[in-house]
Amino acid sequence: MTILTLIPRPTAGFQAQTLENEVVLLHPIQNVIIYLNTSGALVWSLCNGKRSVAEIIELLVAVYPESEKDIRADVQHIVQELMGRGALTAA
Amino acid sequence: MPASKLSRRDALKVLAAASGAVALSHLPTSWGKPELQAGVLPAHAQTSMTHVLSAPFPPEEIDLGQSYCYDGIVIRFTAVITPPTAGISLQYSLNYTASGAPGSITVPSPTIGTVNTNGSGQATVDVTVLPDSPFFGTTGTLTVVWSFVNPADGTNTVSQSYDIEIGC
Repeated sequence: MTILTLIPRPTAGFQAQTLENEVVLLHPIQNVIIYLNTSGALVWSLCNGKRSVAEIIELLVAVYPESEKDIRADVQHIVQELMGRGALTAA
Repeated sequence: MPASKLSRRDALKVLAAASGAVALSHLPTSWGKPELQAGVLPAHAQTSMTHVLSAPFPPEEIDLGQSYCYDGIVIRFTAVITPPTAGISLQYSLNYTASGAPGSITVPSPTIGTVNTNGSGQATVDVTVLPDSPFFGTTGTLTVVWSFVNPADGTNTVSQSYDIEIGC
């Protein structure tokens, strides 16, 4: 199984707060705060426990085709980061 | 349908819906590298989410094309909570002190009430002040004091004033 086949979803307990066009994820019990810029927030918002990482990439590539190469690398990286921080869980 | 067959239009719809769920005000026009910064919550925020109340916007006169002398003047007060959260109940307490010809708050009634914040963390109340006599107008100061209904949401208060002068 590669990261592309994972179906990530937000970990229970995280609260998303939007500030301007950026998102702060808070987990009051785990005392964790995670700041995401707009692109990071966009990826987070697409992780709904139904789409695979590959499907998220394809969605973003369809909207930003000029950045396909970057998107393929960036999405995998940010999903891994969010999973590593406990904010995303593989469904 | 395979994801690769998605049209840009369909993908935009999905992205718009998803970004709306976290209240992003707009989709980025171009792709930027996702950034993440992680930290530890300060002690006071670890057990509950508290907010800070402020009033960064000056009171705004709402022009309804009305006759000030007969219909009164409408002033909109806006309070903002940080971080922005929808559904936080705020209390407003209104007072009008006339310094010249008298007038009264006719809307809202009663002059103490509650309103919930929207997705941007903003709550507004439109206040109508009517001269007691349409022949004399009114001059005075309209003041609102905002506070949290539930102390668990936040504890500070903020006030705003607007000077009213209706000559008739």
